[in-house]
Amino acid sequence: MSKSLTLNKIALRNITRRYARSLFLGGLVALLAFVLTGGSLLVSSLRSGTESMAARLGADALIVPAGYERSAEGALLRGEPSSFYLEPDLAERLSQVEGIAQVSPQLFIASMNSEHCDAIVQFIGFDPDTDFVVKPWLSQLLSGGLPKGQIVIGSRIDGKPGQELNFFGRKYTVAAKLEETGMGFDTSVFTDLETSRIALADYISFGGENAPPDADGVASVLTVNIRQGYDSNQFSRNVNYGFRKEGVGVVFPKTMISNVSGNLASLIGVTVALMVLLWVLAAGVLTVLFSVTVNERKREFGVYRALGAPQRYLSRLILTESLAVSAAGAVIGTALITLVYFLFSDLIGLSIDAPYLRPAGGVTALVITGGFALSLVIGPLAAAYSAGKIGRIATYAIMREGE
Amino acid sequence: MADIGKNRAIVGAAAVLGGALVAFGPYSLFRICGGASHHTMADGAVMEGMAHSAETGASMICKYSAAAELGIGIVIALLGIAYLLFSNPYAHLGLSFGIGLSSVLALLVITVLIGVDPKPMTCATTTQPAIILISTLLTAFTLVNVVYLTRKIKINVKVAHA
Repeated sequence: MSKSLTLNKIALRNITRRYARSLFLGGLVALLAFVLTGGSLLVSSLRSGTESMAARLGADALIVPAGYERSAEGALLRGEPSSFYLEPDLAERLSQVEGIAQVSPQLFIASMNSEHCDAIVQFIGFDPDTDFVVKPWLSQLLSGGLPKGQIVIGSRIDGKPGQELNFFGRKYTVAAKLEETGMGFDTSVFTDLETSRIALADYISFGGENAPPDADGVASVLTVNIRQGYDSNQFSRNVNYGFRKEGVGVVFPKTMISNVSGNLASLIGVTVALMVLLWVLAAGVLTVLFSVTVNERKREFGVYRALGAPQRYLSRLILTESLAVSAAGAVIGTALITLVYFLFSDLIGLSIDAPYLRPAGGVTALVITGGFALSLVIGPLAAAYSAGKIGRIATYAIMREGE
Repeated sequence: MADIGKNRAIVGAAAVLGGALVAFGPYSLFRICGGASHHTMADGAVMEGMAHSAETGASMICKYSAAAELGIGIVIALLGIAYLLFSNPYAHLGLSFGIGLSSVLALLVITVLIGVDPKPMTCATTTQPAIILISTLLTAFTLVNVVYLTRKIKINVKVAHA
């Protein structure tokens, strides 16, 4: 029983017979798919992280000890462990500064500091009575509020509600687990101020770095909402000049967000430009390669023409070959970057110097599909020119053969 | 014959490299917590359920996983060396099965059978994803090779019968 030699079979045999060339073309498309999809996933994760951060940093200003402005930003953005404190009477006096509409203390404790294992857990204590930053989005998880002595953990900390976790030698029950936020909150533990002061006392007894002498009344930052219509620069001056002897600093989360957004916009611009450049370069290289290949295969195409194959058949053959090679490369490149993206998501989030959040499933699927499609079409597009003139080349080859 | 030679070199080298990464990666490139490490003040901030070695503060779960991966990785690398030495396609087929199944075992050890420490420990964010990636690629690669070898053997048998 004989099997018919269809166009697809001829294309497949041509690909496998010239496997070195096919491997190179497929590899190029795979690299393109890897970079295009990876770049797009990175950009959408950074954008998603910045949006999440803007939604969660609800205070107009943060008052911190002088010199710890960057630490406060690091703790919020990247979950960098920070332990810094305002003395109790200073926190009390700062609460009276002119221009304040709402004020609430927060306590930061860096819970882990290991030489080789960079597992970072930031303990954040907030005052349930005065807080206006954490409570609004925490209430979505705990309608009845956070029970005293219990904790809410970030998405990158293993644990589930009801489980007991041990911090500084004391057990705390997990009341809820946050959704991923893409910022420092993912490696943070939230609890009420009273409980966090118990943890701070334990931290002091463990000889923690930069620990205050006493846990009573201390706070790390004061989250502030500035009075409606009050100039934020004037508020900053009130704090800086009024407490220049004690040394305090003011951080404006909105400035922080706009700085991050500005950096992100530049990064997105560069990434998109690089991706376009790479796509054009790859298309150029593939066009040249297909053109050279078609020239090399003049005799072969001449034989097809001599056997009665119409010009359109030869064009379809070259397009089918290019599509098959492109498809294989695009599948491998996209699959590999998808695997890397999902497996190393936590590591990228922890190491990157910006809010990083995996976008919603639909957006991720769309980005991956887009990267795949852009890589898939490059082969047939690059081969289109050669496919168009293949009939003429073949005829010419037959004529030369006859001379 | 040339095809078999190239296949031997590519698959054998991939298995040796993959096996070496599975075996020694957790101690070098994507290091687990522990080994020479020691926790400083933070020993009190260890999560419930994590077993820690008294001398080093290193996690026992990660150490067990890394030790198991060391053994499995060495087996994969040795199978890769055997693949380089033999030229019989039937032997290659058997060795491919061995490499593939060992890779699946490497994957299961780090995810299900032993596992790793809770996030955000380095073991969970770096070592585990790296081993999953390598073992998945190795499994997929050997699967493709098994299909290739099976077809090759069938063609050879047909030619011999003809």
